[in-house]
Amino acid sequence: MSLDDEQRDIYAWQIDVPDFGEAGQERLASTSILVSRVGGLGSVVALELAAAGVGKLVLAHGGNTKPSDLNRQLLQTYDHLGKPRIESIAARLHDLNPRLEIVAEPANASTENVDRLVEQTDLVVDCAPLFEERFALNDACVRQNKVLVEAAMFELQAQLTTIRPGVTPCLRCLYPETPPAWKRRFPVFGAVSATVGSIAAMEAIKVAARFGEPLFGTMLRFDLRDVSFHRAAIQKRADCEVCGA
Amino acid sequence: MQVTFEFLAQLRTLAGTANESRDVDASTTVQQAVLDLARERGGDFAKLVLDATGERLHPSMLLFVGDQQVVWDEPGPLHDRARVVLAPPIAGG
Repeated sequence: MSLDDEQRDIYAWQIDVPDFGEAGQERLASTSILVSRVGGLGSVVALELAAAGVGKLVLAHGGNTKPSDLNRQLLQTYDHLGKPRIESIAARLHDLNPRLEIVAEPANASTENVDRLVEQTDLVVDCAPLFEERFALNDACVRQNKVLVEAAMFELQAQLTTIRPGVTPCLRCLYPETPPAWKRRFPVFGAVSATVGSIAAMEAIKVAARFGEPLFGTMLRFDLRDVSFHRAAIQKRADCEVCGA
Repeated sequence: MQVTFEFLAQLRTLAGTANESRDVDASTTVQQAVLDLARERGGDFAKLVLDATGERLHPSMLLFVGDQQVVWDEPGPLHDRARVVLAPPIAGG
């Protein structure tokens, strides 16, 4: 896909990035990415991908906008309270990038819809709060051999890794069962979800445009309380029931 | 030798601190050090860190020594000033 003059103008600042260039921009324009849950974390992922010129976003997010969304879900607005979240998400992304093709799924990822959602895309960013959703996405990505960017947060802390099926550990290697102690609601600032969302978006951009060094087999952890960042190698689990040999 | 445990996410809340330094014998493995720590702290801390048998790391807990993940069934030697990280599962939202 060749860029036209308007695209060269809009993306001029990032086309100047070494190793990315016009070829990278063309790859982004022909890439389709699933962002599953477009909440605190996923809204920033989707915004950054839309701003960067990704060609198509498949967005899965159910429910209506609630007051407690507004501290971090940057694609929701006060005047949208009580209305379907996905409508505000799609409208605001189109305001930013009218060329962006959006497939808006008004439901969260589940074992029922996940294969259909993943099939439409080249890679996936998991921003879901429930491990049942996260496992459904992971398992579908392994089945379909799609890269999965995994992002998570708690309080002022966050972690990310990028999964390439068959090469790196998958999410089930890290967490073989649904964690019994995990609760749907947890403490977090919007600035934390925005930080980890931006990094997750950059991971997706690097994978799509084939440049840089994604977090394959590596977990990035950070804590904005003291602004510390750490990288650690993570391991495949030989007896993983999803990706094990 | 001295090792420092770092507690992340919910575990930090339960521990009431971000880290704890302890003196251990030179022959202590990371597995034994984690078992000793969890058993001494007990209560909800131990329930989050250990599985139902109380003999192994909970399968949802990630364990790191420095910049390497440690799998429970593989050798886990420690060294003086090692940083042992216990990371409970977290997600998006």
